Amino acid sequence: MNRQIEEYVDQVISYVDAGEKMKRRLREDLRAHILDAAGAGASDDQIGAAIARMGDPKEMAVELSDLLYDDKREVVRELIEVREELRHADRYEYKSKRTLFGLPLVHIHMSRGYRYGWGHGRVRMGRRPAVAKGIIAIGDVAVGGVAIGGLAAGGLCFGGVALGLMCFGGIGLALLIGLGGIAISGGLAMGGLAIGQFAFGGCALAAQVAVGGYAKAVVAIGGQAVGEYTLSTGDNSLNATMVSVEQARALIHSAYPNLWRPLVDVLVWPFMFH
Amino acid sequence: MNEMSRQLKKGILEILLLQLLQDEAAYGYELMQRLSERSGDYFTMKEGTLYPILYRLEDSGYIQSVWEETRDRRGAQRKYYSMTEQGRDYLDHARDELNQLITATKKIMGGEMR
Repeated sequence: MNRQIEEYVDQVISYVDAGEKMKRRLREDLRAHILDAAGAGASDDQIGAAIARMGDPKEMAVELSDLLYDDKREVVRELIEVREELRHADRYEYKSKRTLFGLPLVHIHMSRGYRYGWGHGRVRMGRRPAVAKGIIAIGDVAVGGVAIGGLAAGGLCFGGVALGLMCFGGIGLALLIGLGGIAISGGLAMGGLAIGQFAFGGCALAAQVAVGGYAKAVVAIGGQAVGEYTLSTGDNSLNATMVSVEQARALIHSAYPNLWRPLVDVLVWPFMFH
Repeated sequence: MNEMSRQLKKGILEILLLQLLQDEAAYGYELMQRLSERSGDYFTMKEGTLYPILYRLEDSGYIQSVWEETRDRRGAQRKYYSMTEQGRDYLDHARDELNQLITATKKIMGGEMR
């Protein structure tokens, strides 16, 4: 059989979603049809011209498919399944079989990058972020006992934005301990900007004890210290050589004599090494 | 071809193909040619439309097909379609339906339809 004919027919058939029997039927008819359209004793040029008249193989496949399926619901169902598969194709997911409190012990659910585009006149995210929920959760969005992700929420959290009991992240919002570029905590906050009951960082703002370049709290120790009990180096930076660990500890104890010792150790930690 | 024209034609093509096969057998390309010639190029059917309709008619038992050797095409075979008795009955019925459709449409359209 002529190579041009075979290539064209193969292309058309490849776009048609039909059973093998129907494909064979179409293949035979299209082959014969092209030869008839090319004319008696058809040359390669005549065959090429006949194929050109028949048009784009994709368009022919669309036309064939439109009429081949009386009940198009089956085709639509398949289309939905394919879209569903594609939606998951660029994601990785692992969910352990073992569960605890109804949650998988480990759930990892990550996408391989986001797509953005214009749709309905506004910027839209191509698909939803992958959400992981588990005792240990790792994902675009992770929620769990230990959560690691772009957005992490739960007990112990690591993430771009982390929210929970103990958080480590670009932005950390914590109930107990927060550590990050910006750390806000109900307990101890440590970071570039640290805000909490107790704060340690470049700019430390606390209700009780703040240690930092700029420190503001009841007890403030830092380059610029603002508070009721202060130790200031007076140079806008936390120059640890200017304050001894004993001085720092004594100042904190004078305001809060019963403060938990390990917490005090953390707060005076920068002054331990001179 | 605009969408309205396409949809109107699609419904009637099955009957027209049966009509063409009523008197003599024909192969696919030939049917396309005859349809175009007899309608003054109004019905220019594409392959993607023709074969699914032929399959539907064949699967319903209204037409049958047979492969035949040809002398002028390097020995390649050609599939001839012909009408069955069941097809003739169906065509009679389809003609009646079409007549009713045209009559009813004319009644509604009145003088605006020639």
